[in-house]
Amino acid sequence: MTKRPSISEDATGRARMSRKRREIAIIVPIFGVLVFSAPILDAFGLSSQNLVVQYVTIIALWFLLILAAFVLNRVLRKELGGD
Amino acid sequence: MLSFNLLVTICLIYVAILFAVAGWAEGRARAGRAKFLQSPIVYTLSISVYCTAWTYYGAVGSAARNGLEFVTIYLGPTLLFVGWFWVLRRLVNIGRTQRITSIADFISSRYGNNAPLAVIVTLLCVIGSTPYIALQLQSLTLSFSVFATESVELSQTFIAFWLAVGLALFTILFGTRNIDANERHHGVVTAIAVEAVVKLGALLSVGVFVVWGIADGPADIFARIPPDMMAEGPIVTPRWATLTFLAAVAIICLPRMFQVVVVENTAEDHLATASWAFPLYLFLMSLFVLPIAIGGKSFLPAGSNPDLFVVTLPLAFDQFGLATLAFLGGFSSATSMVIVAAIALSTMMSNHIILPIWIRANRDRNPQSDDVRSLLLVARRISILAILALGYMYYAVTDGTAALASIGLIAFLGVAQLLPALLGGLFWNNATRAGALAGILVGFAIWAYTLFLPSFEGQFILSEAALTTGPWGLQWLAPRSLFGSTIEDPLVHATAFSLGANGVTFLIVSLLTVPSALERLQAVRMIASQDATPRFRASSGSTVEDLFILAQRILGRADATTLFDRMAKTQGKESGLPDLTDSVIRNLERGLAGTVGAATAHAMLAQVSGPEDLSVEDLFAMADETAQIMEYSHELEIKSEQLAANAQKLRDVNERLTELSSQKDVFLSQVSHELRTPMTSIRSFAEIMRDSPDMSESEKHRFSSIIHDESVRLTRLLDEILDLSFLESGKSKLNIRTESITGIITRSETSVAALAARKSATIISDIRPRALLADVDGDRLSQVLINLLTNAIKYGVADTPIIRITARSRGPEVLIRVSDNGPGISDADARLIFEKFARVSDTGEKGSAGLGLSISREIMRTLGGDIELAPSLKGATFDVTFPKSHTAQQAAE
Repeated sequence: MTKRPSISEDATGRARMSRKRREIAIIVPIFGVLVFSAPILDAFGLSSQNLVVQYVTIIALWFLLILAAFVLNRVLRKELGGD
Repeated sequence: MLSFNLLVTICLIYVAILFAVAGWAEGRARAGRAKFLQSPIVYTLSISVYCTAWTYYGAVGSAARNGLEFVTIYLGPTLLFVGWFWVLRRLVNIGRTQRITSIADFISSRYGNNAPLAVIVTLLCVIGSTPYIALQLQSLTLSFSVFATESVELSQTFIAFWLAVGLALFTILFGTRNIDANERHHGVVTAIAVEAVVKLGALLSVGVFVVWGIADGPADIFARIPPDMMAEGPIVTPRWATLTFLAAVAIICLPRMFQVVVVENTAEDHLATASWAFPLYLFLMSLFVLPIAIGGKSFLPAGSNPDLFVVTLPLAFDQFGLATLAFLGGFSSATSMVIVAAIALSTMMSNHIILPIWIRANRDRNPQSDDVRSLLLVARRISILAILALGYMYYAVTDGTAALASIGLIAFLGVAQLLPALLGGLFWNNATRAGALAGILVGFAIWAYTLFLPSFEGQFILSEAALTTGPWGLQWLAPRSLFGSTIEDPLVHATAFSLGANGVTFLIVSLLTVPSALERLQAVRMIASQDATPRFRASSGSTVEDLFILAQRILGRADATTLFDRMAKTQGKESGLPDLTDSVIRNLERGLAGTVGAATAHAMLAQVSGPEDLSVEDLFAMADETAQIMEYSHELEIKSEQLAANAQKLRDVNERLTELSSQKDVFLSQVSHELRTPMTSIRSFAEIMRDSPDMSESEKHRFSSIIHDESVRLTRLLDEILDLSFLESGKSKLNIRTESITGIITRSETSVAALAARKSATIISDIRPRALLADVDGDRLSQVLINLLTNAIKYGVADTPIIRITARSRGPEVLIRVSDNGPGISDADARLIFEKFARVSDTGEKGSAGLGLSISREIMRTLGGDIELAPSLKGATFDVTFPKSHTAQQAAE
């Protein structure tokens, strides 16, 4: 028989999840800022590539960021108490 | 070929369609069927007002000139929206809970509803937006000119002028339908959403046409990259980072973006949707920018304007329909920007500048609501005209020579000067109004000097020489290399100096100044409110009745009923309580926050309606809020005490005035009485003498003597009244000099010697030391002593009347005591003897008006001394005190 979690355990679990969601909410934009506003791409040798490679790389990373934002939106809605 | 006139007609039809869409949306909103209009998609599309003619035309131009740099203008907002939970959510929450109407309203509210701050922010926004308006005119003029050169010859200034007029009329008709600045503009937002779809569709269509219509797919178009676009180099340069940063800042600082993101937001979850949907929109907008730029450089003649590739490419391949669509996309970009910017700016101008001036000018009369409504309408319309006029003037002065992108960046950095004050207001409790004001002014001045004025290229205020060698030849003041800076890029240079100085000034001044109570209260309300909505749900076990009871306890029955009635009506209920929804809880919390503070309201509702316990943050927020409110209350208490003290003083003064008024009445009555007695005698005896011609000489003599004596008495009485009046008013002039007390007493004794002899009274004087001196008016002191001696002789009735007058040195003063051995003065009479017209003796002495002791007391007080009735075992004793001579005092010391 599975032991039912106590009220305090349940509250602690929910608080921990809430904290994790908030941490993710800050990690994703920081990742974006680091990628697009710091010379990380250049450090990976993108500056020596031609315009097409640079363009495709940026577009791809950008799209990934949007996908992350989409996922983040679903996660953070729990924080809003919305739908 | 598409004629110019046909293009104008198409534009007018397009505008008419937008009007129809706006009208339809307004109608649905009024009918309460605005669910679709309030959807996250419409909200997201309305944010696309960010994509102006700059991003529509200018991005392609930028790609053709600077390669991938154009991406930064899209990446900045993307990063901000991805991080929406930390900045935008807080901003939107505050906007909704505080009913913020503009960025100027936000900043001024946060810093204690400060009017000068709102005016400065408004002016900064207007000045910062002017290049942006000019940019829209320039892009539209350029695109119109493409068609005009094919059919009719028109000067660009001519086109720009009529475009400005058209846009102004369009905006007035479109944007001044609602007066409530906080009310959502459903019509405008919906029309802008339609325009967002048109411009995205147009740009994608042109992109598809270039990649697959002109070229043979992506590989082919990228194979055509001209050599000048192939230069390799670092991607993330200081300019790249600056552009990304400024583009992100523009989302929260540009007035039109604040309007659509914050003011027009109806729900927090719309922002959640926009966090990915708006970056996706920007992604799609930018997807074909580089291919179009490559296509333009490959297929169009050398020297073609890259800013117009979006239109000229389809035209070059006779795709008139696509060219028209492309043109409408640009037209949409420009018009949507101008409409929203003008709405936002005109709201700020009317609310923070025109209305306060009007209210101040009409302070003396009570303005009617219709007056204010008419004024606001007129003010907003005039503001719109002024804003468009400024934009046209900027365009005309710069001659439309600058590239689109550079004009837009000038505007971005201008409004970015609000960022430190805005972020400080969002996150820093101790940020102060003085800090915000100082930071904004410093940053704005440096922006104007290093970027805005140089954009006129020597034609406005700063000459060309001043731009290169600095004003008055001071190289270190050169606008583009301030203090010898080696930053080559003017934008990076201006950003570093203006925002750096702005931020540092804001920080230092905020640390050096203390926020007022109102600022602290607003800080708590705004900063605490960011956690105000999210963590409880309407699905908990509470009922709406519970919330209604809670609301009654805090707001009172009437206000609570009004609030719940309104919420019920919003849900379409004619009576009863509303259904328990998240919206109801949020509205209730907002209502309670105005009374108990945001954090406390949140905590209360969390307890009543939410399943979650209060968090430590909630408790901290409550504690902070309570502490702030207590401090504020304490200050109010101090003010109340001061007011109470002042009120008490006023009451005392009032009582004194009333008493004086009463005394005046009594005095007048007594004077009348005292005057009437001798006057009656004089008149009676005069009448007897007039009506009795046979009167004997002895009788005539007796009666005329009575008339004479009464006249003398009357004159003396009037002299005494005048004397007393002079003394009381302080107008009496004293002849102060060092006099011998012995001499004064001797003179006084001599004056009453005859009277004393008549009454068989003996006067014994005892003066020690004999050489006693005092700084007094000898005549006045003698007058007092004569009065006391006369009274003692008259009223000190005894078998052997003896009057003693002694003088002694007592510390720094002289004491003269006059006493008699008569019946003395009873305790009841003792309280009255110094009152005017007080006569306590029943000896029936005539000739006394009862003013002698009053006059004596005034004289002594004027001399810096006093006179009082001293207690004595037998008879009456009066003590007269006054300061000694300074010389005598020094000698004694």
